[in-house]
Amino acid sequence: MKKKYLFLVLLILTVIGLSVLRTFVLNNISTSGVELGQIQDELDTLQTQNAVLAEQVYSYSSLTNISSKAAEMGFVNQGSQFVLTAPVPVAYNQ
Amino acid sequence: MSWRFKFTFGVILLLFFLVISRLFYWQFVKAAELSALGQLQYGSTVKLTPQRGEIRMSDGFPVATNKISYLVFANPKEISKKEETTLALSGILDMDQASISADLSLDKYWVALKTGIDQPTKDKIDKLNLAGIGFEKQYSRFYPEASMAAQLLGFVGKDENGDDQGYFGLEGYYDRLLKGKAGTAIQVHDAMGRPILSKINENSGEIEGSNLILSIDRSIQFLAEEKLKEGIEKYGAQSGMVGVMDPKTGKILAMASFPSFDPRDFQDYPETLYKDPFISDLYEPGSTFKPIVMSAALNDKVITPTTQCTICSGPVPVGGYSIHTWNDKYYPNINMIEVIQHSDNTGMVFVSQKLGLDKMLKGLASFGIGDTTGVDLQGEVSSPLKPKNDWYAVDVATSAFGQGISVTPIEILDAIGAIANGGKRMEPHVVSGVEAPDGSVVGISPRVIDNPITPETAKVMTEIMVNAVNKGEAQWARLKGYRIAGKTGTASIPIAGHYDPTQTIASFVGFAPADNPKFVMLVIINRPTSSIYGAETAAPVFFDIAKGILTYYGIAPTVQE
Repeated sequence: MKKKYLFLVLLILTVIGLSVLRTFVLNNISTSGVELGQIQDELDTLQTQNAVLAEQVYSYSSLTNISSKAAEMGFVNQGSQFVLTAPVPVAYNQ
Repeated sequence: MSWRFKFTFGVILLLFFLVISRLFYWQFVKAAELSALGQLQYGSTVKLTPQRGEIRMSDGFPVATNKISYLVFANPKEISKKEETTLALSGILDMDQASISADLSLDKYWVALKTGIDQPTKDKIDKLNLAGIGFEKQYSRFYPEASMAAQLLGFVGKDENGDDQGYFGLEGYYDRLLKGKAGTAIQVHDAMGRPILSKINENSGEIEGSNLILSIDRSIQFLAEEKLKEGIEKYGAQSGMVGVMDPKTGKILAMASFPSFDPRDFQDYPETLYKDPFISDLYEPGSTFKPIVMSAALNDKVITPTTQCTICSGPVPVGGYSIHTWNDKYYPNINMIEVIQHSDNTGMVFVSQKLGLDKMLKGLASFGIGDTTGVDLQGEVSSPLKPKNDWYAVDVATSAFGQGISVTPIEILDAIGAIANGGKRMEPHVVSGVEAPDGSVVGISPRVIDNPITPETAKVMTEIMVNAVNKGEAQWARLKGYRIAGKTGTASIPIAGHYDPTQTIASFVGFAPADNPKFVMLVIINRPTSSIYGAETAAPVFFDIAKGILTYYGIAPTVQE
């Protein structure tokens, strides 16, 4: 009989203990929604900044932009070109 | 006493049984309904719209990507100082005050004021701290190279549901791949609207859009567009097109046409500009068609390069018509090399007579004439060859020099590309790979469609075309030091049953370096006014672009001149 009661008491104590633990954990995470919201806001801000910077990089590195900036700076189209080595003929004279 | 005890025990048991069965009812039978009710009360369904995939050039630069923009909305019920707000917003948003004032007077909780606002504008409005004004983040299509390759890219509009939809070009052809698949997620909030750390539906069904990697070379595309624009202005033409392809793989390196449109503001341009004329416009190719017919005849061994034309001493009568040369100059006993060199129409009539209709039709079909090339762009058309029984003798004769037959520019480019590629005709394509959301790239392999001519015939035809460049009408414009194979074209334009005597479609097709071609290119100048001839308009544009491409590829001259 004592063993039965012991088992029952242990069971009840376990249930109470787990309930208390559950309450404790839920209480702790109930306000983490605020943190989650802050993290989401920060993530959103960083993603937006990243996208804006990427847009600027693409605009500045476009050939259209580089070409117009080059023209403003006085660059001109390539004129004639020269080759350092002459084309090799099919056969040489001895 | 025991019956009272048993009775009480029985009542307590019954009550327990009732409570448990009621619990069972609410937690099992009504579980789904209550869960849905709960979600309605404190959960919000969020539509997850994936970002549209990028379209990148061969160097990885995104020529179509996404940028963040904002929708400005107002809650009129929260705005007490409507006049002040109207004045402040109209200046920043560049909208008239009456329009904003009307929106703010509506009896609604949410009114959209303007979409597509950029970040600096949003920051300006933010600084004003206006009550009742908010922003929704959106993604809109962004083209860093502005209108470069606009007709090739197409544009993104809206479908009947207001969702993004690609139209024309690559945006249209690959729309499903680019747009991905929207998903949904449930987000749980507390009474203050803050998210609760609870499990969000993981299986949202969202699939990100895939990215396209093009074979288009950004530098060559830029060069082609610049030179084409200059050429159209210089020669007073209505329009023009350039197509550049790697003949060995079918990869399109550049495709330009003017006039064009800006895909950012496509609605401001006429719809006729949306389609890519290089694949959608039919025209009579004129003398640029001659190498194709000549190749077929050489391949079938009905002629050799030194075969002499026995009917070329004057105009040739065919079916009640008289076929003349373009300049009314005639060369008796001209050989086939010289036929191409002088672009002799009577010589081509001779070739067509030697070839015969059956072999000519078979040869043209093998070169892809009269059929779509299968290029991966929306809007390609073709004009099928007439059935054999519908051909008259004059049709056979005129087709030999590219009149009386309709083709698209890409058909000509692909066909001449077969000559450049040792007789193998490749399927042209603009996309060289598709990048999946997980980063893996699926490449698109080159595909041989047909073998219209043997490698030996291709070599012979190449030499004939090199000779045409060196000694033909366009020799004044050619690039010295390089062996370039090419052919001029000056095609009359059919109008209401006859040909316009004053206007032409001038063109030049060729490939370089002739011994190991890196590119094949077709230039078309539509209705030039300074001169009607291909040798004087399209040819200089061709050689200008070719010079740029050869320098870009670092290909040194191979001929000492």
